[in-house]
Amino acid sequence: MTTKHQAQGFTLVELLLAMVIGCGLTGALLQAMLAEGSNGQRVGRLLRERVVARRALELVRGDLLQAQGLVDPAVLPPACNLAGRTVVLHLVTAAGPITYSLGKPAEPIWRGRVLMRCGPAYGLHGELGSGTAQNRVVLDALASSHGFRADPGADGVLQLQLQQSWPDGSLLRSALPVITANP
Amino acid sequence: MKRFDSYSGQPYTGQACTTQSCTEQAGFSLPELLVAIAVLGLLAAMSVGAGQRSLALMRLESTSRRLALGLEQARQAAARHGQPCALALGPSGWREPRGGSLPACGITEGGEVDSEAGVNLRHNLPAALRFSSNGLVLDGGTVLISAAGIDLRRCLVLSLPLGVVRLGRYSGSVDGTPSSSACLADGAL
Repeated sequence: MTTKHQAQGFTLVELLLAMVIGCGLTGALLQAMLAEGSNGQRVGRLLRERVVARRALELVRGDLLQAQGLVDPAVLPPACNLAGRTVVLHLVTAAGPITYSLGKPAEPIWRGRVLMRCGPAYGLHGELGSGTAQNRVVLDALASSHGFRADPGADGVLQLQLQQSWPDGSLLRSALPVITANP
Repeated sequence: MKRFDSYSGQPYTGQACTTQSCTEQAGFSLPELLVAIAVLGLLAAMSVGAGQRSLALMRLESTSRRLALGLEQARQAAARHGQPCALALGPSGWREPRGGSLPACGITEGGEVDSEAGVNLRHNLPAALRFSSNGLVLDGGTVLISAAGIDLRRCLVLSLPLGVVRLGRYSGSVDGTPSSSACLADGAL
């Protein structure tokens, strides 16, 4: 008498179920790894931007310390076409006026609002040159309302503040007090 | 239909019955084998194509970041030594400027470009990019980075005086001098 044995193994349903579970787990793991990677990138970028923001404030402080004082743009007009940007700091120096303005960038690579500096270029040792004024982007991704502020305080201290924001919701605030002899 | 035994590879002759049992033997038919081979070949071709694009993208991104890193290192070297220095961009990355009175900025990571793998650089930087002794950048410009096997072109915009570097997606013409007005901010960066 012969006996018919059914072949042992997985049915199609079992196989599909195992594949679905395996794919789901792999996808979840991949998503978690990608999220962790993008978070790391975001933190790294914020750290880099913090250094750049600090250097931008140091640059403004350097100009302030070389300046003879603040001046009204109506009295001494900026040396560049500001293209509708708002003047946030206007200084008079021996090499000419230096104007910091806040507004929309002229080129598409810059994000958000930009802080621009119109003034004499720097020399090989950081001194103010005597050539024509240049209008350059100092920093981008500035918040629309309070991207850059120079608030005068007591005893001739000028409080410089930067506020940057990025599309992913990251915010960065930086501040630097400057003691000016002639605020 | 002629079937092949999956173990022996011999033509399948039907049920193998013994006096004790009769077991159904599984096997593949020739069309099944051909379909499986075709599907595997298609998948392999797709993965090879995607892999080549992925490698080209990696070369492009790594070159862009190396160039930006070289700039930052040069700026830091000038500030660290308190001495102005200069750098030039050649077809294979950052190098010492030829001529000029300024010494070369000593950088350890020079923005090497894998020119053999088809990475190309074009730029509108001056012959010598100068850095002041207090770490300011005195010259700026745009570098266009492209790689064979990928349509994406990266652009690097260097702003002065802080030396802020932004990487973007280039939308300008393939030929000619790159312009910062054609360099668009990329949300993926």
